[in-house]
Amino acid sequence: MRKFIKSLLLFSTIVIGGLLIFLFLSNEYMARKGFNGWNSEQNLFQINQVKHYDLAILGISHARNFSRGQNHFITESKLSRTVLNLGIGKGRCGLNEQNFYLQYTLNRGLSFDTIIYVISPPLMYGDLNKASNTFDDEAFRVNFIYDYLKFGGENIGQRLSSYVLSKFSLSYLSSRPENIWLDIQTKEMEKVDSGAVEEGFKLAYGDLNMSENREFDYNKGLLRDFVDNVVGEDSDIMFIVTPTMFGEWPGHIEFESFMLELSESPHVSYYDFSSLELPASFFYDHHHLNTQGHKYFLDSLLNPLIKRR
Amino acid sequence: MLFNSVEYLIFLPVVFSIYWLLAKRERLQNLFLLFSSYIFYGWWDWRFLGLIIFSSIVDYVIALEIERTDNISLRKSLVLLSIFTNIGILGVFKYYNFFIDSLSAVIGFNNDLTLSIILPVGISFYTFQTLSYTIDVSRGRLMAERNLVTFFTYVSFFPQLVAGPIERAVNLLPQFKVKRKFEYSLAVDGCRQILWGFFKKMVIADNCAIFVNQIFSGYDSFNGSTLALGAVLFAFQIYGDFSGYSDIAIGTSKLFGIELMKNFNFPYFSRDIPEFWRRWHISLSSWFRDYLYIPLGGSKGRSVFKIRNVILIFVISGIWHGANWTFVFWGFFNAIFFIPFILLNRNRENMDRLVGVGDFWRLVKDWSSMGLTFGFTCIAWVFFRSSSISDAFDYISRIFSTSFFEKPDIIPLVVLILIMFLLIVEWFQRREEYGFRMQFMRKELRWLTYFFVIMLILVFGVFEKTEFIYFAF
Repeated sequence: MRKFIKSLLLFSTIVIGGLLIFLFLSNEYMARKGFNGWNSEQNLFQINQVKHYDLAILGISHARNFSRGQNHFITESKLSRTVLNLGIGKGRCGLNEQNFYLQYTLNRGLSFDTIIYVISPPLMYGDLNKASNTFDDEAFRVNFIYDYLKFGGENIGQRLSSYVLSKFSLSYLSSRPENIWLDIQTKEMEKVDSGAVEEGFKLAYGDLNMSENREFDYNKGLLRDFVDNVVGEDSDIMFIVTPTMFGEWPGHIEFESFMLELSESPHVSYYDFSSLELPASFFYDHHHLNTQGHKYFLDSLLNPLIKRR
Repeated sequence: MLFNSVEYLIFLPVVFSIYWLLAKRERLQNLFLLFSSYIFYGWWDWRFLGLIIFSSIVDYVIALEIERTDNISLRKSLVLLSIFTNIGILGVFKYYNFFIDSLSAVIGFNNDLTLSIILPVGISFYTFQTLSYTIDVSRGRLMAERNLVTFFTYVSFFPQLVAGPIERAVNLLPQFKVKRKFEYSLAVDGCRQILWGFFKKMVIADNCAIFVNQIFSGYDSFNGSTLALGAVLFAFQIYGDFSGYSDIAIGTSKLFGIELMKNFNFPYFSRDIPEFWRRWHISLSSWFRDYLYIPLGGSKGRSVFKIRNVILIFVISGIWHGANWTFVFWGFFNAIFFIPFILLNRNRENMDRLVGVGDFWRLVKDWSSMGLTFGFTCIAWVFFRSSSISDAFDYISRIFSTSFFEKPDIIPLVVLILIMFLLIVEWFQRREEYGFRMQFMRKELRWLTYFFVIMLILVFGVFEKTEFIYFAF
């Protein structure tokens, strides 16, 4: 038995050592590829490059859209602000992990004047907090794992194992920085397809039941905690809902009443543009602005608000 | 609990350590193993533990009663009681809805008699295992086990509880009755077999599954060559899945000093269909052979009885795999492929000679026979995988069309390379108990090979994930 344990320990040490070497080398290899917030969907490579940003953007795909397809540079230039986009798209991230991203950057000594939280209503009603592939695109960082273990979260084991394992996956290793989602510069919608919207709502919300919506209640708590922590860090928070083609999202009344209550706190503001009627040509799908729409949104809606602060 | 889960990664070392700490007291060791097995099973759904316990109690008591009486008719009645109980459990949980649905389709009544019941994991395996025990006791091959814990441990031994091998009491029970001594070489061999099992399951089966699901779910939009590729990939999916799981089970058992029977013997290196069935899911095939085929007369007697026996065995084997007519047809198709060998008395060819050994013409013959056998097997697998019989026929008819000669719509190059790797490794290890013994290598090289396989699992393996569909609309 002793011989077996000794062999097993020796072999495990060699394997773990080998894997760590592999992780270190692949990390170096990936770092040299030049990933950044505007050419990928990940965040960690851009952290530590600059210590202070004027704006941090949080949220899901609607937040990520501020950087996709050259939008990052447009956002920075139109707003005349430096921007760190921490949004995670593709349905991979819930409120909890958004909070964690901010916490992680603050732990690394970064600071922001204003946080724009693109608060998409599906984020409040869905159970995206359980997604296990949240960090799969991120670079391997031991301090990221350590901070996340301290932070806690739902599905932590599966999420961290998915994060580590993804570093060995071909899709991660072969990924390249590129101007992703370039079609948002050219793609335009023509009109609302109510069938597609209905299907989309089903995907995002499932069977929405307001009287018994645990996710909504849980996410309200998370957002309250977030506000309390960030106000403590002396940053302003702007919650915004970006325009859509179909107007308000399901569960809008409850969502809005909660957001209005939240915005009563000092340094917190809330702006809902979902019902703003914009031309269909400003969208690349029913709820994401294309580059043209994004420019309009920055010029006419967001910039005046930021300047006013 | 799944073998490829984080829970199992913690469960196995903990159980292994405590088990060997109790090495001097085998009764306590068995009790601990039983307790661990129930945790393993109950992790999925603890309510169904009652079913295993019930099945175990029934056969424990019946076997003792059989042994106690000399009255032949009473012994037969007791065996029948065991058969009815076990098949009854299986019937209710696995086949009731299928039976009602089929009956309603034939007679045309409203089938609101169906029940919404979950199929308990491993039910087909442990019911067959307990059944074989009672039959063996009634045949005098085995003494009834008096120790309740030993018997219960035999029924619910966690490595083989949910997906086999379906162990015979004659092989497994005695191993729980003796003092177990830790054997270094057996434990190392177990680890190696577990590693190979994980490779087959997570790299081969799970990657094949991605393409198989895509091809089978939209088969009417693919050309013949893609559909043929889909059938081949499914053949490797089911092999990787099932034999991989068996390797993990057998390897895990070795860690506990228990040796289980071989369940897969490189089936795709078979030169004819009877050989395939001697190599595929051996524990089930031999179960049917010993408890059904031979009692029915086997391959003796008039041709009509031989044909009846073969069809019956294969159809029952088909339905054992799942409650659907597609499985019945899968079994029937295999019977059709098998019958000519029985009638020509050629079902025992290729019993002794190792495949791929001999002069040039012998090799040509072996390789062409292997290819042909594999082709027939793949056609049968289409029935196993399709959602309906009409879909399966449609799928096969689309393979045999002119589009078979077109370039496949999907070429999963990485998966095909991984399958080639599997086949090459197993080909060179075909004399061995499993595909990755690597006894011919020096220790350092072997360790390097293990590391390489671990890397393959990490890089190409499919791991459990909770992903949400991106709601872009």
